[in-house]
Amino acid sequence: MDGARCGLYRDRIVEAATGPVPPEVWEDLRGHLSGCPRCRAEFDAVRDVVAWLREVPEPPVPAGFWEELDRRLQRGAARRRLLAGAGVDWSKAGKAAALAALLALAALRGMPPPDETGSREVVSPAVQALLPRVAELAQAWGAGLEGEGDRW
Amino acid sequence: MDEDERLVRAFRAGEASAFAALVIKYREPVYRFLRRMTGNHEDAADLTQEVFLRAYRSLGRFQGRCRVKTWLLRIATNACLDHRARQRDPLPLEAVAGLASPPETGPDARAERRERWRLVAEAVQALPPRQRAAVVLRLYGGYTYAEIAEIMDCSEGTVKATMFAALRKLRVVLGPLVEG
Ligand SMILES: [Zn+2]
Repeated sequence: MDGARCGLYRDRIVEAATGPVPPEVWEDLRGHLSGCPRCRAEFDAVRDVVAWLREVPEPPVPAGFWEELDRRLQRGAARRRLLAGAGVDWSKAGKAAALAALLALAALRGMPPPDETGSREVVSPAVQALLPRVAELAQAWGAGLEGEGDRW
Repeated sequence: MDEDERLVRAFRAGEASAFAALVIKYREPVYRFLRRMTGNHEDAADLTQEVFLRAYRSLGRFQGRCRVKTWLLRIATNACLDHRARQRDPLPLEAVAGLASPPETGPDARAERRERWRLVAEAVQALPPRQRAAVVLRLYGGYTYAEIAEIMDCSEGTVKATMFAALRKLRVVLGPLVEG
């Protein structure tokens, strides 16, 4: 139980109490904890706190907030004159991304692309070329928040 | 070159929609981080707006040394520090203990659990901003210590020390309340 060695294990305690660690790291830590009541108590205490914190559920995103954010960004940007000249139409860009996603998804599934009538005005080839992962994005949108899993 | 790099390049080349695509892609992780950091939707919404407006202004200078998501979360962390500084009376952590009596052991286990969540969230709110950021990013965002170090612009060792200090503090404050 020398203090210097315990000090070296503090980072390991934090790592192991807050997420998975490689087996060899865990074995090494476990070896120390079995012979060091002080670090064992520290580890148990930290692990308890982590469990309490993780128990608190993710607050839901209020309905309509993303649309509100689009409007706020548009207003904020306009107010600050950030977009003088080349304006970003947030709602249009959203539609562009969604449409590009749809086109890519259709291509991926070997289906004929959806009717492109009217799409060219919002989806420039440049934007389409920029979104190679759109099929994945479209699936995430389709699945709602589930697509994000535990990780943001 | 990955998708984000292409979007950044396109934005610099004058494709304004590329920035909007980045907003759509990252608004959720940014908002969720800020929601946990501030403890309420209104402040989180204001700060999310602020983060993307700051990002818009500085995307032209983005060096590409880290990922776009990391960069946005760094802006978000800094925005929280500024936001906190603007508040007049940050809640001292010790005050959390005085917020409520220990959870009652009545028949209503659901209400009891919600009360515990509230106390835990209040205690997280009362942490100093950098400790709070480390806790939120690791425990709620699932980021690795290496990623958090990049976001917080410090070493991994510093993040772990910050985390340890935060968890120890929370244990002292919450222990008597949660364990009853
Ligand atoms: Zn020890």
